[in-house]
Amino acid sequence: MRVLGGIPKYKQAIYFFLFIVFSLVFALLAYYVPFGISFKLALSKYDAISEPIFIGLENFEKILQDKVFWISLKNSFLYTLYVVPTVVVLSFLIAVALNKDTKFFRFLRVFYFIPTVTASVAINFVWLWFFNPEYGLLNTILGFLGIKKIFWLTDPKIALFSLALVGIWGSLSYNIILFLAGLQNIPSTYYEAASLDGASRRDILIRITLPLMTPIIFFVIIMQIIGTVQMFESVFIMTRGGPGYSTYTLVYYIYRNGFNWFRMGYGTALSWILYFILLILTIIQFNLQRRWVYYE
Amino acid sequence: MRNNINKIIYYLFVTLLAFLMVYPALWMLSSSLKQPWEIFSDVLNLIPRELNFNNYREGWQGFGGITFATFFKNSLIIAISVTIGTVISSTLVAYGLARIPFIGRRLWFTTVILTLMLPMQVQIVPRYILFMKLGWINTFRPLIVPTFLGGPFFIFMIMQFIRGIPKELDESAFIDGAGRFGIFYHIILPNLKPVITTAAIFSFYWTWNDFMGPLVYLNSPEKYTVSVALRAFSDPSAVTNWGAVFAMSTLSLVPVLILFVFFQKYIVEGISTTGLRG
Repeated sequence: MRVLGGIPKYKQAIYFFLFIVFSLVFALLAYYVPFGISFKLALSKYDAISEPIFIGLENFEKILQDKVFWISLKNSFLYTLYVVPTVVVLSFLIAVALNKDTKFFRFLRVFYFIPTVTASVAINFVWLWFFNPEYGLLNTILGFLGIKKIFWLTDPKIALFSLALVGIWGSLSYNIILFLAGLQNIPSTYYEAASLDGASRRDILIRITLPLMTPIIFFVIIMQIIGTVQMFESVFIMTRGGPGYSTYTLVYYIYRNGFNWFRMGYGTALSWILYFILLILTIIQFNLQRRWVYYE
Repeated sequence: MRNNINKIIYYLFVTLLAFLMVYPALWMLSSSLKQPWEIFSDVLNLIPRELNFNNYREGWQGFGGITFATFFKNSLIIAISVTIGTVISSTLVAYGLARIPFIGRRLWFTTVILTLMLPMQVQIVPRYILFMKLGWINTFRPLIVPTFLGGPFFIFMIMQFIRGIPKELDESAFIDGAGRFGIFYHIILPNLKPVITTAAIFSFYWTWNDFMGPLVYLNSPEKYTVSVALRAFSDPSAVTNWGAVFAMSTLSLVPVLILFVFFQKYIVEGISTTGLRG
């Protein structure tokens, strides 16, 4: 088993082992160092120029009284509420509809997969114009149908919802792939046995497919929540948090505090709150999973 | 008869939906080839009256005397370095975590999982300060160097894959006198080809599309990546040449689309492995 000429085998083994140990240690540092810094920062006042001043829990006290924080929290929550359930249900149904092994469907699936790679900053510009009240695609179509103009991004009651539309469109593709993979993993004998017993298509979907898919549904929900809460590009490019504060999300508010207003300590404290919310949500989900996720 | 009608409706529906999925990208391509006035006066028409490549010529000029050649070069440098770094380090760390017994391995694995949930967006401020202290702001280093320490998502993905390789293979190689390196190089690595390909593709995509990182760490236009340049290019406070924005946006999708065409199988498989064994 000579791999590298000239170097004795035991030395290779030592180098290799050291290499792995180093990667592990460095990787550990990469996670913990910012963690440590952020812990200190959250308890400080810091403008990135002068020395940080230790102020204890003052940042957190201020946050609790900060109206914009509560608005951002509410918006992040609502946005997640619009996006996650819709994405999970739609992508599941679409995957079921596409789960046919014919040439036509294999070809068609490619189109469903493409947004996984095209959903990017660039596509946000397209949506920005779809939403344009005067010339935009959406209002043009509504005009043909005789429906009044909608101010997609400038009406504070609608703007967040419009961003959610973009979020839904952008996340479907990835989850369709996941669900399709899961569906194809279900042995066809299950279906055959069920139809021999005279089960209808709907019965098969609800009693066989759905329970077998619960582990993947669970995974999709967890990842989708984490991904959805992180959304930043759409707000930054399309609304800049506006009109008013109607599309401020927590991540956007963290960005504003840290990089526009140089309130680094405050921004970090906000980050901790966001992290804990995600952590708690995930723990709750892991506890709830015992009640509905079915493992073979 | 009724069955046939249902079937036709079904086929029409899935086809129409497929069209909706790719519609924004198609619209962008078509607008990039239209005359500027045509883009918004004729929004519903996907086929330009005549092909106009002026948008591409104008867009390529970029802004402030910096052309898109620079932005594409920057994006490529970053994306390629990140991909190399992520793949090498994540594979090693994943191997270490999956196969080498050491004290605190469980705790370590939990850390990886917790980091998976602690997205870059949440850490952005402390990370910025760390890199500022290192004097790395306005260089590519904050974007590249950390990836050489392994990405949690990829470590997790590769670990899942290594767990699927029978341990008996390791053991028989061990009996044949192979050391850890021999086992890694001759047994594990050849088996990891598909998952490594997937990891490489994904890390390229995500880096290519990354927006917040370059936005925060890079200040001077000659360092901008394509995604940040596009944003600067469409400055809401200035009159924007939207034809040119769409032309450059379309170009920005070309590298990822090429990867998609060639590696579709791996992308689909990669997404599947993370979900199925998770």
